[in-house]
Amino acid sequence: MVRRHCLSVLGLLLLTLCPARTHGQQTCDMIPNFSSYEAVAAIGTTIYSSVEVQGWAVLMPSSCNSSGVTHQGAAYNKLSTVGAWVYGPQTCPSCYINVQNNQSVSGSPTGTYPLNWSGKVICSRIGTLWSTTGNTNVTIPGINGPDTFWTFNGQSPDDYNYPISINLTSTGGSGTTWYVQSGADKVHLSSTSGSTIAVSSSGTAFSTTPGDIQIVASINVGPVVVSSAPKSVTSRVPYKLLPGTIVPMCDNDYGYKTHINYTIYDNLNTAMPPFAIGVNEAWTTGVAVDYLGNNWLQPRAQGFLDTESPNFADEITGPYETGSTPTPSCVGLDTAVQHWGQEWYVGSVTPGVGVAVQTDVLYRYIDRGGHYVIWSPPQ
Amino acid sequence: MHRLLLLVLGVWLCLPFAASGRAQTPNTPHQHASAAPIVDGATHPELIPDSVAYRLYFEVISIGANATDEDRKRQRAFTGVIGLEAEDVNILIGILNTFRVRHDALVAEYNLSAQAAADRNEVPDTAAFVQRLDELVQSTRSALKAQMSPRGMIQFDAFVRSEKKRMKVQGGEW
Repeated sequence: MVRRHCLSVLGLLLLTLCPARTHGQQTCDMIPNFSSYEAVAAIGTTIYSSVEVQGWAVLMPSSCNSSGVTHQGAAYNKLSTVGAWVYGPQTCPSCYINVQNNQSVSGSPTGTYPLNWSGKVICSRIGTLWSTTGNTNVTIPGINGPDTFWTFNGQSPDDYNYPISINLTSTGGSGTTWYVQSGADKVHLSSTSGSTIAVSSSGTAFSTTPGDIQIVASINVGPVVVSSAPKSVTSRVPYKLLPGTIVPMCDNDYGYKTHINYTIYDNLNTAMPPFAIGVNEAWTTGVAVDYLGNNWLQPRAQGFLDTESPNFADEITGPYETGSTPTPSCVGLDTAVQHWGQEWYVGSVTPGVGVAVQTDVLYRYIDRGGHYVIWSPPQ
Repeated sequence: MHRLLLLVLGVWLCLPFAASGRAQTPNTPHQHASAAPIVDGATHPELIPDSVAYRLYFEVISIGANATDEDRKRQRAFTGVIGLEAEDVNILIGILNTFRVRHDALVAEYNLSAQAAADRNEVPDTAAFVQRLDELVQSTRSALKAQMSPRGMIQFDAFVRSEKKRMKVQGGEW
C-alpha cells in the first residue's frame, strides 16, 4: 500500500514539470521572414560591397509569450582582405532587423578580388534560426582607347588627327556590356556588348564641356555586375570662325588682294588643332550688282587644304581679266561693285561639303574686298 | 501495475519538457516553425516579389541624412552601374534618400511598438507594419516614375529586377 502511494506521488510530480501539458500552454511557432542582398559596384578603382540582412519573425499564435527572447541580425562582408561580421542590436523577435555591412577596397583594372558574404539571424533561445552565404570574385574592367572624336557632317578628312570614330576596348573581354552614363544624345555606340566598340558622334548633339560623355563597361562576375570607371570622351565639331585682321594689299594682276583672316573654333570654343584640314566656301546666292555696268565675273567657289590650321584667310581680289569695268585699283575708290552670299565649310576641300561654320555676304569693291552680315556659327 | 505504467508514461512524456524547461523561461516554449524554404534569386528570381526586391534595393542604396562622403561615393557607385543619365541618377538619389528617412522612422516606430508588445507578452501587428512598408516602397516607385525619364525608369526597373539574382528571401509575409 505504501509502495503504491509512492508511485502515484512520483507520477503526479513528473506531470507538473511538463508545463505545456499541465497549464494548457501552447508552443510558440516562430516563422522567419528574413532576406539578404549583396550589392557590388566599382567607381574608379574603388570596389564597394554591401551586404544587408533584414526582416522579422512572426510569432504564432498571437497569444504567444516571447518575453526574454531576443533576435540579432548579422551580416558578413569580406572583400579581398577587408571586412568581418557586423552585428545588429539584440531586439524582440518580431522587431524589424536591418543590418548592413559595407566594405570597400582600392583595386586596379584586371585585378581579381574575392568577395565572401553571409547573413544570419540568431535567436537567444534556439540559436541560429536563419542563415545564408555566398562568394564570388570581383574584377574591375578598364577601358582603353582615345578620348576625342570629331564629326564633319559625313566627311572623314584625317583619320589620325581628326578621327570621326574611336575604338574603346574593355579589359573585361567579350562579356562586356557597354552603356552611356552621360551624354547619350551626343554619341553613337556601334554595339552595346563585346570587348571593343566604335564610338562616334550622334550627329545631332555635341559636347558642351570636355569629357561630358561618359561611357561605362560592365562585366558579370558570377551574379555580380561590376562596372568600370566611366571613360570620359568628347565629341568635337568645327563650330565657328573667329575673325582676325583684314590685310589690304596692292596687286599688279588683280589690282588688289584683300586677306580676311579667320581662326576656326570648335564647339568647345577652342581653336582647332594645328593639323591640316580642308576648308571651302560656297556661294549661296547669285551676284547682286552694286555698280551698274560692271562686267566683273564672279569667281568660282574654292576649297583648299588649310595647312595653317586653325588659321586661314579668304583672299578677295579684283578681276583678273583686262578691260574690266570698273578697273580695279589699289587705293582710293571705296565703291562697291558686286556682292553675293557666301558660306564657309570645314572638313572638305569640295565647295559646300563639310560642316558649315559661317555665312556672310562677300562684297567686292573697286579697291578691296569685304565680308558683311556675318553669322558665325550660321543661323 | 497500472500505476507503474502511468509512472513510465509520465516520465516519457515529461522528460523533454523538463529538460528544455531548465534552459527556457518557464512560460515561453519557443520553436522555429516549419518555415518556407529560402528562395535563392540566383536560381529562381521569379519567386522573389517585386515589393521585396525593391525594398531590399532601396534599403541598401539609400543613405540617411547623416551620410558621410564615403556613403555618398558608395551610393554613386551603386547607382552608377544602372546605366542612367546623370539627371536620372540625381533624381533617383534624391528620392531614395527621402525613402530612407521615412523608412527609418517607420521601422523605429514599429520596433518600439513591437518591443512594447513583447514586454506585455503580446504579439505586435506585423501585418500592418508590412503593409505600411509596402506602401512606402510603392510610393517611392511612383515618385521615381513621375520624375525620371521614361527611358531611365525602364532601365531602373529592369536593373532592380535583375538584382533579384543577388537576393535570398524567406517567408511568406511580404
